[in-house]
Amino acid sequence: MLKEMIQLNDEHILKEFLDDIHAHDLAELFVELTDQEKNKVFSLLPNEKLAELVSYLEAEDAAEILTEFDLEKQVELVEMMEPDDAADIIIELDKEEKEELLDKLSDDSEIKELMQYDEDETGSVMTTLFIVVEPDLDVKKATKKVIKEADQVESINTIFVADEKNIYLGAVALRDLLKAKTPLEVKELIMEYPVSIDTDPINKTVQAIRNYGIYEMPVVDEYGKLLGMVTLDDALDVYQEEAQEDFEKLAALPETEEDSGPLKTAMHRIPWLITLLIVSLPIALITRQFEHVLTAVAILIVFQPLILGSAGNVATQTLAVTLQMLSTHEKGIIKNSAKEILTGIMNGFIIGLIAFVMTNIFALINTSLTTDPLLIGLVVGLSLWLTVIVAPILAILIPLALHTFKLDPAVASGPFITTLIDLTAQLIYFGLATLILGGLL
Amino acid sequence: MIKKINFKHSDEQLKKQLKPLFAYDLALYYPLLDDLEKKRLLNLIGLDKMTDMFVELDVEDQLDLISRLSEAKQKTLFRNMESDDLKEFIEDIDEENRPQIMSLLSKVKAKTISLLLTYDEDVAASIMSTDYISISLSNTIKEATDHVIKDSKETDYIDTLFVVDDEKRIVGLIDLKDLIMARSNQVLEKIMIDDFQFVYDDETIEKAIQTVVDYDRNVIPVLDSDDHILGIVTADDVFDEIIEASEDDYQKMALLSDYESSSSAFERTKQRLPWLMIAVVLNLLMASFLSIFEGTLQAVTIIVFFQPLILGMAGNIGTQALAVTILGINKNEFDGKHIPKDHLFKEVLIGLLNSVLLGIAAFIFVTLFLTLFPAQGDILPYRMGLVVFFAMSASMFVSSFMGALIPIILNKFDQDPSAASGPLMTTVNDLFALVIYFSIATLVFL
Repeated sequence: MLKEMIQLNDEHILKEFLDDIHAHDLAELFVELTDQEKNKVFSLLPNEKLAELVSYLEAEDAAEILTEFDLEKQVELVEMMEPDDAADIIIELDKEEKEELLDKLSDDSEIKELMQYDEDETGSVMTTLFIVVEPDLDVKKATKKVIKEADQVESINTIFVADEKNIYLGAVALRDLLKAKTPLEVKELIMEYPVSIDTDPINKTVQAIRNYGIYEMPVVDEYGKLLGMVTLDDALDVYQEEAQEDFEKLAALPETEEDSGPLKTAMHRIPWLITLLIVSLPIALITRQFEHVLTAVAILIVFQPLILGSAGNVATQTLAVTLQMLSTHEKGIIKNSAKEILTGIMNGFIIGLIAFVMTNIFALINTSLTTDPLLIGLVVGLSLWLTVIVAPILAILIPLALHTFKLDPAVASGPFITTLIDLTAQLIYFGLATLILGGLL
Repeated sequence: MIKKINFKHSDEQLKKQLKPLFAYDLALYYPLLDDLEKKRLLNLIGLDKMTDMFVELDVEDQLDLISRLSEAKQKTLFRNMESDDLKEFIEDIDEENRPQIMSLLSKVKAKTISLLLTYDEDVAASIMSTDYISISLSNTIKEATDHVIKDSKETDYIDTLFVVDDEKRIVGLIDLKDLIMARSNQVLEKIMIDDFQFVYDDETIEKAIQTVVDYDRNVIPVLDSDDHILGIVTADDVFDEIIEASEDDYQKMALLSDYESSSSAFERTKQRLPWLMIAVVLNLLMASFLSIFEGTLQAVTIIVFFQPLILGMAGNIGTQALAVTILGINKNEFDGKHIPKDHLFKEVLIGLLNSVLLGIAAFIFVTLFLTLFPAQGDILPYRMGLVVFFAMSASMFVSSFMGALIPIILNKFDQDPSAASGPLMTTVNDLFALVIYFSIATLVFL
């Protein structure tokens, strides 16, 4: 739509169109334009809308666009953005450009403060635009202050209260403030309200916003000084990103890159596949040790997918549960692990029993395959049980170990764990076979 | 985690202890308390906090809580609740108990709830709340402000107000912020936002969620086909919906059904067992089918060395394709007519490329392996390498194709696309991979 508008070549109509369109919609149309068309849009957009447009783009794209302007305009644009958006974009700039731009910003710039935080700290997504009133202010004066400052903030639903040293005391609902009759001091209206610390993991803050059903979460430093707030819409964005990342990791997918061609995407995904291939190589080595059993009792081979597959399924289940607990910082990992292992023991017993019975029947029908159906059934059933017990143990220990060594536990994705389980299961299966069927050789 | 509440304290002290606790935290506690503790807690926390806590409880605990209240308190509790929360509660309880609860509501509220209950569970209107404030376009700034301050209920969403014309049709929104900043001689129309985002009542929940997320709104109105406002969808409800949906996907991908961290080992066993049993039975069926290759297996035992490798890699690439496709569907990327085809084409290309590359890597590895560790019999390493190359490339390719195709088909027929991560799919892929592998081996070696 925007493309056609530009091709019409009527500046007046185009300008009107750009005035009316929401910055989000504009951002979606914008990415499809050619460089020339983009320049045309730039020339017609007032700075304020341009800043909005840039905020709605992916941070990487936004950074690229930002560099097309001279330094003076860059400064003007980032100062118009919400500080947290601006910080996200500046982080994406090349080192030199970043330094140049930061030099031009004043030293007490909120953008600079936000950029000091780690990506996964609450401080990195907070906005510094909020209204704060002092506790001993009269409600009438407080209301006046709110009205005066309302223009600079996104929302005035919740007003924070802090003392003269900026120590956070609580929050006041705008409704209560408006309804209150003077003379009354603000502190009489303060309600219990949650708070986050700037170095808290962002996941924790996002969970808290959800749990407490609030739209703004105040953020304080370790001394209780009020620094800013995290809004629900930012929390939502963070959550969606994190959820997608967890999902991708479970599937051994590297972070998605939008709009890249098949070749590039294929190359992007292949490192993980190669890694998995290499991890599965020792399986062949293990199997080789048991070649004599396999030659003697070839029927074992057809049950191998059953044992490896079931162990893999169980491990994936436990892995997902463990990862979720780690990422939401839930307590009680040990209790949960005990439950998981117990679950493995029970499930393993039942499916082991089923496998035992069915293998027996199967071996009775195909008499040519074995002379001893009962023993084959025993090997398959027992191996299945044992592997289903071992699988959750590995699926707990590996992410926990990674977590303890401060590595991202989600690296131990479903496929990765499954491959390790294959290795173990193989050892158990063929090992048991040698032990039990040893007499047959 | 929250500190333990000490019920040994006197009422006075206990009250002090409860004061800084939030309703959500209390809700985590409530199910763990004994009868006497519940009674004391309910007496001490005040009805407002009790209402907030009530909303967070599971339905069994909600019913338990209600049974401990006098009828007057029950009425107040329901009056304090937001309409969407109340509707959810009534939806969750057994049908025969509903009239009894409905009789405790005010006439207006009962009517609202009955109306809300009529919506299908996947339309936007089913998650809306009716606690919003509308103001008439003809109002002055002062009238509008007074209306908000004096007539709004505690449960009403007041950050944004909805402006309606004489026929009650919506004409715009006003942020409360702009209303209180406005000078008294301004007209409402001047401060009103007239190009605003909304959904119609019969549009999907996904549409409502997408609108809230894309435009960073805290609230959007739900309209009927004549532009009358029926209710609002707020960002905190959207947040809940998003969390539910993505947890659901994650669990399905991980073969879990309805996982709760509180459930016991026994409950977990019961939940997961059906799944595992299906997988076991399917695998056993597969095993019996594979016994037709008995001759090959007996003659060329070394093919089993590389069997887990082939199955594993096929599974891995399938999982990747599946995850990408499910994420795409969730983000509504495939709404257009041609996009699923484009996506499928792209995934097929990626699958082809990676299958062949991994196949080559596997060929090199197998040949090296058998040269270093010669197997029994007189099998030439490179020939086994070739068998693995063909089997692995073919099965990886098919698996990645299925991973991309099945969720799209399921979605087309309005089925849950994440169901594609199930055991049936895995078994079909395994079966296909093994049949190719054993067939090629039979051809080459026998």
